[in-house]
Formats: sequence, C-alpha cells, structure tokens
Amino acid sequence: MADAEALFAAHHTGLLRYLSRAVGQADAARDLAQDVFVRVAGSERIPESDGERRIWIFRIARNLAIDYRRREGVRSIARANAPPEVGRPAAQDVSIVVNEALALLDPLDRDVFLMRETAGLSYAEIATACDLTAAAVRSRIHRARLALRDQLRGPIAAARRAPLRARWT
Amino acid sequence: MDNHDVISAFLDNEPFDPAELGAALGEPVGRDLLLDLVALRSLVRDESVGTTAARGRAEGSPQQWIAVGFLAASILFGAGAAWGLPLLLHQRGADVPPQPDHIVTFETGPSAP
Repeated sequence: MADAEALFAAHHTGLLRYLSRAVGQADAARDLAQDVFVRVAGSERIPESDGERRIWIFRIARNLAIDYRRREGVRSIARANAPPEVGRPAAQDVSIVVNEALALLDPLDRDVFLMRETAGLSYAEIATACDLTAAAVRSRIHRARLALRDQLRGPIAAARRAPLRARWT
Repeated sequence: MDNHDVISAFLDNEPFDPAELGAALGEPVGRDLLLDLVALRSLVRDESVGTTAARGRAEGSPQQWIAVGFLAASILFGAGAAWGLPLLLHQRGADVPPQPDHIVTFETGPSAP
C-alpha cells in the first residue's frame, strides 16, 4: 500500500494532466486518477523498475480514459455542440478549444501525443504502453502535431506572443 | 529524418543528428515549426492542473466524500451500538420483575369501635 501511494504521488500531476486532456473534463479526470490509484493499490504485483511502473500506471490510465470516453461519448458531443457560456474566462475558452481540437484526432494518435506532451513519456515508453513500435509512435505524434497546428493556428499565434518555455519532460 | 522529424526528436528529448537539426533550423520554415510546436505544447499542458491537483487532493473528490461519510456513519453507528448495548441489556432486565428483599404481610385485627 505504501509503495502504491508513493508511486501514485510521483505520477499524480502527470496523470491528471494526461487524463484531463484525454477526457476533456477536469472533474472526471480527478475521479479517473482516483480509480487508477484504486487499481494500483489493489494490484498484487507492482512492477519493480521506475520505468516499468510509469508505463504500467499510464496503461491503466489510458484504459480507464478509453472506457470513460466510450461511456460518455454521446454526452461529450452534446457538450461540444452547446452554445458558449457567457462571461467564460479567456483561458477557459482556449482550454476548451484545445480539447475540441484534440477530440477531432484519431483516438490512438491523441493518446500517444498526450502521453508525450502532458506526461513526458519517451517514445519507447509510449510504444510499450500502447502496444506500438517506437517508429509508429513518432509517426503518430508527428501526425497529431501537424493536425493540431492546423486546427489551433489562432491560439498558437497568441501563445507565441507571450514568453514560452521549452519543456522536455 | 526530414525537417519535421528532427525538430520533433529535439523537442521530445529523443536522439537526433545535430547537423540535421542545424540544417532544419537554418530555414525559416523549420524555425517557425519549432516555435509553433513549443507554443502547442504550452497550450496542451494545462499548467493549472498542478494547482487544481493539489486543491483537488485537499478538497477531495465526490467519491472520497462518500467514503468519508460512510466511514463517519459506520463509526457513529458503532459507537452508538457500543453505548446503547448496556442500556439495552438493562432495559431487557427491566422486563423481569425484581426479586423482593423483604416482605410485609397484613393481618386482620380487631375492628375499630
């Protein structure tokens, strides 16, 4: 249990970032992260190395996100088509636009891209977590980036006018 | 690797050929792509998540609150049962009539005038 708690604490922020973009709902992401913890805590065998643990925990998270999207698919589309809320903060607007652009991607491209961008997993780690080759991961990330670059021209141009930080993890 | 691949590899901390990266960034298109991808990363990485994560942990999710409520109810019920049990036993004992410790008998005496 103590191992599970330490493991969960180490990956909590990355998990939440990944899940909140993967399902597009912050509250749902928190609940799913909690579900990941329940699965990890209830597991009879936790992988030994840090790398294996990271892959394992994100594989669980991805499966939960897939289940969630399957359950909530119809409602998510309804929310996406709802008229914009009056007085919504600009940052929230951008976040919603990003979620909508992500929702247009192929689901596997999106997961692969998000594991890299939000949680900093390497191509090899993502390949293991998603049962792909590293070359396929690179190709899918590349495709997702080009599609998002095209979809998010306005927000990207706005982001480039503010100071940026290149993050590697 | 083409220009896109080498810039992605650089951005993703994957192995890349420095000469290829130099060539890619030597062109305006390559530099523009790099800046766009860094900006895209900043948009996708929602920085508020770290702070909301901490707040979420402090506030607890609905599931956590349900679990806490269930635990509190269990403790209260348990405590109530533990407290109430002697009282219940005492009340059950009250249904049985007490044993007399002394007996007063009345006898008929002479009638009053």
